[in-house]
Amino acid sequence: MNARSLGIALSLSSLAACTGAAAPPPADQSAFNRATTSVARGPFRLHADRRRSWFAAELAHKQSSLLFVSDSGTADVYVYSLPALKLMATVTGFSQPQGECSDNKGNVWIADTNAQTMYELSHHGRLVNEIKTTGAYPVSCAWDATTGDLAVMSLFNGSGTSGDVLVYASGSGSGVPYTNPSQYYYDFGGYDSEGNLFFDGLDTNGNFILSELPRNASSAETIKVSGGTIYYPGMVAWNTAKRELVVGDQSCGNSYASCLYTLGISGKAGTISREIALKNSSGGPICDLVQGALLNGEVAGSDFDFCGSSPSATYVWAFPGGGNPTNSNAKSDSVPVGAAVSK
Amino acid sequence: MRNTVAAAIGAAVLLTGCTGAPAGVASPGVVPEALPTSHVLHGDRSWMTPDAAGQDLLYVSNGNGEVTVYRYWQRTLVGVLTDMTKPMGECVDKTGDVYVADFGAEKILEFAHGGTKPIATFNDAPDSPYACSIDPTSGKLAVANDDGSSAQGNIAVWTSASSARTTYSDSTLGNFQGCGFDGSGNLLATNGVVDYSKKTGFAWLPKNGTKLININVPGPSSNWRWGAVMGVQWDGKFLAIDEEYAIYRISLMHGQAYYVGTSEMFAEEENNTGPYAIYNNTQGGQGTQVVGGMHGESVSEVAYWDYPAGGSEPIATITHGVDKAFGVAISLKK
Repeated sequence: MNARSLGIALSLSSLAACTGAAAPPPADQSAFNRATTSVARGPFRLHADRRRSWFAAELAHKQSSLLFVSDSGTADVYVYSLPALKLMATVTGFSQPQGECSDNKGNVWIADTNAQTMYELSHHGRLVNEIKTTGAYPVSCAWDATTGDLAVMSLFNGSGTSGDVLVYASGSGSGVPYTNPSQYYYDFGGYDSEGNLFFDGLDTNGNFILSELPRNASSAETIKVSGGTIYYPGMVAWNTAKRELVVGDQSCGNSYASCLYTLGISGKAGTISREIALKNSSGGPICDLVQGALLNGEVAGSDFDFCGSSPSATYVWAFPGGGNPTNSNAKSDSVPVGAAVSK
Repeated sequence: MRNTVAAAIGAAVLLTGCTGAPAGVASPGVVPEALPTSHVLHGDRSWMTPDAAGQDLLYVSNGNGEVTVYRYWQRTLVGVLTDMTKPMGECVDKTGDVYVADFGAEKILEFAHGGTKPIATFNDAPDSPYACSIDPTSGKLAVANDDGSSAQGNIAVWTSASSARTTYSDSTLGNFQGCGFDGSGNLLATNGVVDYSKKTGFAWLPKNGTKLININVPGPSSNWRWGAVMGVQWDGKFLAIDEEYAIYRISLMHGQAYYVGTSEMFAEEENNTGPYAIYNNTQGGQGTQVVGGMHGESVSEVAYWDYPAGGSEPIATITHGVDKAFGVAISLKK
């Protein structure tokens, strides 16, 4: 058995239990009834963890939009109310949760890279489904509203070769791989309203690349970006209202800062129309917004602050205005990565 | 078939009064397999054959306090560096200069490729240097300091021997026993083989970063726990983490670590192995061989394997002059 198959075998075996001592919820949860609950449900179980999941009692009846934030540092997923960013749940049991996406049912998919698994959580944070992406390194996902398909971006192959996009029809079954031969690392993606998938990453020379998998196409192609330089791939989302693509840069200006760009898409060309600066609670540029999520007139996401200028925190900013955050919560985040809005 | 180089040592031996590490019976000073017709002496007993500078060289820190130097491909002794208290981890810069962490003397010595006298000394006092790494993008020297169970170590970084060092500490990890820069100038550090109350863990210092950041480094299974980590280095494509009989390849991207693969290195005897040095003579490519110290009750040697293939037994070994090898480094000829 080689190391890779050994790893997969161990990974599968680790799913057999979901135990762990309960830990007190964060201080700001004290207003809620403490409904400490196992996340296990049906045949699906998350990994054993040092502590159990926590859900605010009011979450079970909450119908308004929620923000799900994955944190690879704590290996947890946090659920916040919107726009107040009040912590409503901490879902434990992940290994390396990263990018997220949401579907029309309000469910949120979590890409767990190290577990090589996509987990589907309900609007209320309960595990309802999982897809093993054996051999892939899932880092993010996108959900196609026109078909119900789930696209999973696999960063790279386990043997150190290029990644791909795996498309799961109706969010189940086996993933069908798609690639752009010019792309090596596959990071974040988003569908437009016609079912075309846009995704970013790094090319074989380590430079930023934006690709499109047109609806019903058999392979992806490069979208040539003009009007500016994007250095390191961040979020990809379709702004339906403006019919434009929103792309994040984790190294804005080739520095330790993140920003967003809006791009007009025409054929195989993408033209940057606007740069959106995002600031932290201290008024400085955010260090690393890995993935943000669009909602009406706002963008929400977290700053993984390895720059040392401000604590890691989850924010809501005006969109497309950006600038200073309108709300923040810095009580839970360690290495926040993914974000998705559950409606 | 093992290709062991175990030359007979002559009757003339020089006793050394060193305080070697790991603990053990100090071996006599190493003499050349065949005395060179002319060799250079420095200090007390350091020597190097004149042809050493034209060779790919393997440097080995030994428990007897000496650093032995070999022709990498022939595996024959070309020199010995003495006057060190407790040499441990080693690293090499782009020019082939070799840095030896002298744990006991609280300093790091820089030797030119094939040289016998330090060309620079990095004062690490009051800390105890355990391992080191050179940033390929800037030439900075990073040193992992392990100050023992009663103190907290740090990562010390120098831009030059004459500059003041900058230190970075991490209360979660405590002490440091390994560090390695990747090809982009990010540093991955570990507290290594933990004897104290800490768990083995890692921290990341971004290129030009201001603080260490704890990072979860995955292994070959989703519930992987690191144990006896011996070192961290760059193999040309990935960060390579030593853990006794294996090297785990990791990709570090924007604060996320990803497991890539494993190389397993075995030998006939059950020995303690590592840390390792990876031979890489490519431009931007991955290393092709790996060398590490092995020692047990009946053997003390340095062994070679193919990389990243590894193997069930070494492709070659060196025993002459090896005494509980700890640090190893490969310096390519210019």
